[in-house]
Amino acid sequence: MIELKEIFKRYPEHPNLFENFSLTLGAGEWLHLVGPPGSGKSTLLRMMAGLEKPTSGTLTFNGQDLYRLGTSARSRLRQRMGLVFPDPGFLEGHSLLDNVALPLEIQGLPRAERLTRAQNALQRVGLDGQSALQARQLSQNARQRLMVARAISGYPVLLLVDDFYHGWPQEQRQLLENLLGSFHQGGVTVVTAGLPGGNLLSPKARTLTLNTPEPHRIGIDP
Amino acid sequence: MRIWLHHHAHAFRQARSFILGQPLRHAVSLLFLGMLVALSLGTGFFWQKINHWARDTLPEPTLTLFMTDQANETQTHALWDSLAANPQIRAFEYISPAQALDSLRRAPDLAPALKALDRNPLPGAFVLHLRDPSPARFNQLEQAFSHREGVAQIRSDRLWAERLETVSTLAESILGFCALLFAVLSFLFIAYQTHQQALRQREALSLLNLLGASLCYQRRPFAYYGALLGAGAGLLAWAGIFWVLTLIIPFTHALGALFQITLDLPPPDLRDGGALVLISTLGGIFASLVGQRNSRAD
Repeated sequence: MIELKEIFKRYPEHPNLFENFSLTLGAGEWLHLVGPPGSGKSTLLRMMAGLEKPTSGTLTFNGQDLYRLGTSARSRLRQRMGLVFPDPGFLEGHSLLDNVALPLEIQGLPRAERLTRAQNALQRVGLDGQSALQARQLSQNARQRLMVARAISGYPVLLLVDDFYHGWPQEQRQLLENLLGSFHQGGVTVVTAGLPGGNLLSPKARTLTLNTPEPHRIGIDP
Repeated sequence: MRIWLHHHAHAFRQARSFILGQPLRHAVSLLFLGMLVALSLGTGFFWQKINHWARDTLPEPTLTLFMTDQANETQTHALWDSLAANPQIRAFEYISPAQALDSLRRAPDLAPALKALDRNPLPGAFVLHLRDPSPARFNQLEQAFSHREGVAQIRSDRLWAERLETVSTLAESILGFCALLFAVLSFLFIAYQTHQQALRQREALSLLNLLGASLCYQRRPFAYYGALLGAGAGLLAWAGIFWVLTLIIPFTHALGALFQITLDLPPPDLRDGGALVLISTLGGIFASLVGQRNSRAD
């Protein structure tokens, strides 16, 4: 599904964030990234999403070198991913239903199908009764759940979930775990990220620990 | 195809919402743009009309070949044939010595003096109308015919042609510069409006990028936005030019009557208007893509 080969990623403030880093992730796997803030979890997720180009190395998604593709082709591949990142953006002035249906709109699905799928996704995160509201009317937690609904509405083959569920009520965490678990069981590859010591979202996940300031030199074994 | 149409319809609705979201701002912008487009095209149109009037009303520079007294019929015919075969000559006429004398006799002051003459002293002459009455052409033809048998003298309106050409070039440069300036201003104005719109939509664009929207998908609403601005400005410009011309037609007719010339200023018809709207729409699309490109934050 995803293969990172000899990845180097350098920032001025982190000159050796990733150094000769390799990782292979098969279809239907669940990988949990653990590390302190600044350890590169979000960078790794963004690289996998085609949003952050590695300094060098190759990153293939379903056999296609993500960063050798043109911007539009890379964007089309991203349509098959569900991204749940912190600091979510939403369409202002639009309902929750419109927001969740946006990826489906980009994919060009017919309106009826878009609305059905979006409604279904809202129901799965417990927001089905509020589909006519606008995102700014929601609490922080509900906005995050809205982002999850948007990520799953397009039936992704890869779910990238950054650390945002920290501090969620146990009930909501359980809901998210069940939701990601159901996608995982359906064959979807899941990559989650969290802080050390935090509860794992799934015991089925294999864990990759990222540490700083030591650069990440090689990938983990399964 | 269905998806493509759907995306275009969506982009159009978004572009419309950009405009309807700020109706007053866009109404003022459209008025301003309409004036710029009208000024740009009006200047071009005005130049065309002035040029047309100048050609119709000012005396056309000509080249006259005066024949010698001894020129015989064979030489005159040979010259006639070579003038007829010359592609640079649009038309020519031969004025025989008798015709020249007749025309002079019609002048009341000269008639008594002409009666005293024992013979017609006037030569025959060819008056040439050039296809391109430029000074260079005059020079070229003067040289070509000055050594022809039977030709005594050449009188050329080259100096008049030079003055006409200088005035025409100057007017063309000034009006062309004005038309270009207004067109560039219209283009920049649409590009700037789109740039501002794109900055306002920056968060939405970044979200679309995150969700896998292609660049085309992201750009399309802005292209429609530019098209709507361009089309609106074109329509306003057309209406404005039509209205102004309708208002001033009685005055131009009165002015024409005073100078005994035809000052015709027909308002732009449906074809002209359609072309104007099409050009301003295409210009709007191009300007908006330039404006949006400069505000992209990948």
